[in-house]
Amino acid sequence: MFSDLLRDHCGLWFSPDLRYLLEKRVASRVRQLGVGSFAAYHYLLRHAATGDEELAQLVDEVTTNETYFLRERNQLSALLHEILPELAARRRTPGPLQIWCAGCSTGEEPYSIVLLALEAGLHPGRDFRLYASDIDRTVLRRARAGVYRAASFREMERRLQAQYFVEKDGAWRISDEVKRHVCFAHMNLLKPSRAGLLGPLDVILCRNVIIYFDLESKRRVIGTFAEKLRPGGYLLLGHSESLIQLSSAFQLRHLRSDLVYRKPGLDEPRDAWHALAREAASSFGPEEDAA
Amino acid sequence: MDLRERDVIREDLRSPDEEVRRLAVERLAALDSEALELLVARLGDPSWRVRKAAVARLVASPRSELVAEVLVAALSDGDDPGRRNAAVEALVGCGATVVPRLLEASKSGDVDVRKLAVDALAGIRDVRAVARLLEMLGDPDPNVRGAAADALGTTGHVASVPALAALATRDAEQPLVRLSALRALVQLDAVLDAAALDSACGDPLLRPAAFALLGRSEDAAAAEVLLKGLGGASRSAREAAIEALLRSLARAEPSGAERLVERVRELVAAGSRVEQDALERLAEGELSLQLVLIQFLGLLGRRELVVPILLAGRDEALAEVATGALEAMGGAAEETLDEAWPGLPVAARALACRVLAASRGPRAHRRLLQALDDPDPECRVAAVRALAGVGSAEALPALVRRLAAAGGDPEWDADGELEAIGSTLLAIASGARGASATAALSDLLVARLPSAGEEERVQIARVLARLEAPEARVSMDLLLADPSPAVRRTAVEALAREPAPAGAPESLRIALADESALVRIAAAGVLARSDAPTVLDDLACLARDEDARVRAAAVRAVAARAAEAAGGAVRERCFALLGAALEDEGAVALAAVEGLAGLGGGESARRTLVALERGDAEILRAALRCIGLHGDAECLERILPLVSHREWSVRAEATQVLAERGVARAIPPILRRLETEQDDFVRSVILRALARLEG
Repeated sequence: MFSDLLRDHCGLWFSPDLRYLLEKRVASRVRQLGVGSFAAYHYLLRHAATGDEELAQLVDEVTTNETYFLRERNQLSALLHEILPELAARRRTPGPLQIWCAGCSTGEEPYSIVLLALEAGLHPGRDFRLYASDIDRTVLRRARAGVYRAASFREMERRLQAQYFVEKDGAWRISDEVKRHVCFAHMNLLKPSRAGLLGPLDVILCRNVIIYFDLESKRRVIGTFAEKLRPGGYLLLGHSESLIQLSSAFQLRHLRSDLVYRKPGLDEPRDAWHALAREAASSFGPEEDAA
Repeated sequence: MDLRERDVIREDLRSPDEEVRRLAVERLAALDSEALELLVARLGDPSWRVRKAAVARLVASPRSELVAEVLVAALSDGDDPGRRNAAVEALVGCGATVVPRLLEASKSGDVDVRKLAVDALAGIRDVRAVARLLEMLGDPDPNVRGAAADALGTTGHVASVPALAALATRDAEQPLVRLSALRALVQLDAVLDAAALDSACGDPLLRPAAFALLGRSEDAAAAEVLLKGLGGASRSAREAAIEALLRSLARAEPSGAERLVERVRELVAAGSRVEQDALERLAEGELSLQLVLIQFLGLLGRRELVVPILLAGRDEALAEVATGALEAMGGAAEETLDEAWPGLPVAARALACRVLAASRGPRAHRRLLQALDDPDPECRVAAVRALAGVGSAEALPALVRRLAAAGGDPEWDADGELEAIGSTLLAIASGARGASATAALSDLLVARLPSAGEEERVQIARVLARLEAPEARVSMDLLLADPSPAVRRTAVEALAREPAPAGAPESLRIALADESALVRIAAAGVLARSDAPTVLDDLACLARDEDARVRAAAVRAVAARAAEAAGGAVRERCFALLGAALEDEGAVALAAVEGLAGLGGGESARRTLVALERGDAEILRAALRCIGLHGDAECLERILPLVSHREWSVRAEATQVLAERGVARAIPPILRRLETEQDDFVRSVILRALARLEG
């Protein structure tokens, strides 16, 4: 019954073989609150005045927030060196491109994008604006604080770590130069009204998030992304994720560094974009090989 | 009402239980011609509660002519002074309508009736009584003459002055009558010369009142009499002379005032005991006297008096006058306070900071900076606030250092100090001290950010938001994404600067999706003032927030946008959003009702009718107020059933609204409710409503 509740609320799906994990985390909340039983806790979630608040707390408990800097770096490289240049060249209205990291966890992904952009000679804020959201308030708090332990740096070169982080008491605090370019927000991907605050988007990254959703929730979330993206905009999923059986609103595109999904443009000939992207990439910022 | 019920009321009026009699009095409104007689009889009830209830019912009666007649008749009841006094009270409560009858009564052959009629006229203060009261200054009875003088004082008519002056200066008149006349003249702010008051000044009983009049005189001789009075034997006369001299000084030309002050100082220097007396009485006198004495001692300008005046100012009621007196002493106060500082009691040091702020001297500035490190928090906060007025760019490093210290002090609640520092930094930076102060402050605060605690960052956000410096702008982006909701909220609120934001900046829109409800509420407040085209879309999104407080804030913002909208589609959409919010939970619905009330117009009232179905008393009262203000006859009709609502405050509000809008159709349901109403307050509302609707 907790599984159903979470699925209806935010799309999180616990398959039968993962139910023991859910049970363990619910039991922890039952103990902390001293409500006595699973049934009493379920009643509290559904009917008490504090039910919504507790449901948010439970979501904080059960969500998986494992991540690190420069995770799936090929894709980030594709974003910076192929996708953004193409979008910038195609852009008809002035202003920065709009990027949304949906399910940003503790902030490593959006900060990685800013950090790599600075390395590539781009100007975050002027060239693109970056929004990052998560449903888990605890991870958002950590993302805003921007303080990380060694495990977050497993894929990052020492040079970058030394340049963009300050070490204190065994932890590294991200520099303000990076931090100030990320706007964090609290969003439930199954409740798209808040996403409306972001306006039309050019790129959405939702990596390793929907793997935890049931099929119906995945479809709803991808539908929201399709609505939010401008024609020609890009959707970047995790390497283990795909849109098979989920949506036909996107085309799979092969870039030099990675495979990504793209929402077709309104009036451009199919596949013409790729030539355009290559052309734009050569005139937009320095290029580096994907590591 | 049937005969049996009438008998029950009459029976209850004779009950030995005062509460039974009082409740019977309350029910007397239901009786007709017999009621007045019975109510007047109860004015003589041994219980003051019953008398008070009878007075209230008589005052509320719509039959004013009849009431006046019976009350005036009650004045002649020589056997029962309690009843006569209650009758006077009721007559005063009836007000202007009974004046003609009181004027008739003032011609009665019964001296008591004449006196009581004058007392009632004094309470009513109707100018139609002045001519008759002037005549009564010649009444054969001294009590009546004195009462007439008192009444003329309260009625406040300048035409009375010559007659009162004649009475006050007539040596043959009884002293108490003259005293009443003198006091009436004081109340009327009359101006008499010293010669006219010569004999009164010679009479110890009349002297204080005569001095009070001399303080209003422009006669040069008056000041001489008052100066002489400072050395008099009677303390009350000396204190009256002090007060009168202060009044003279306040009115005098600067040069004249200066001369008079010199004369006072000479007198004190010559050994008058008035200074010592004033110091002693400063500790023991009543508040009004203390206020006078502080001003007088300040006038003397002696350094020895600085600390006593400061100490007297520890009393909150005297603080403003004490600081004013010390500020007027200028450099003498600054130097004395600086020297005496180490020995000043804790509470006095905070007050001293206020005085030093006004002196603006170099010693004061230095001392205030030192006071930032005072062990007493109250003193530190006072020093910080004082620096807001006099602080220069040189004070900025010390203030920022103090901000860091207060923010990092876990021992006490430093909120007040931090907020004061933030305000002072803002005051200094926004003052006419040049761009260099702004840049210096911006640098100091930005340098603090990495190590600042939450409370300190809140204040830094407040200040940086107002600084027109590039570093400040960059840091504001960081503060808008700060880990602390309190800091983010402050940063968002700081966006609500004048003039209103031209568009909804992205950082503000993203704050609407903040994980903290407090930040979203702040963002809604700022958005209310934005003219961006997406504002209503954003507010509509926020109106579906999971947190009721946020939805309420969104609703208030929608109402604010609607008030700004010229009309048409925007206003219509706002009305639709507010209407939808009426179905939401309490706080949201209440915000919607209040928003509609603020918008006004028949549309608001009609939409608010939905809220009359709610069970929450607060919402119902707000809805009633809205409908009362803007509803048409059809809307008002819907209120009628609420005069019998189970909640007393709703009954009272509904009754009041119907009375204010003059809904005559409400009389029958209100009367029906009166028969069973048990709540005293609601009963009083009903009685006033009936008087208004039937009158």
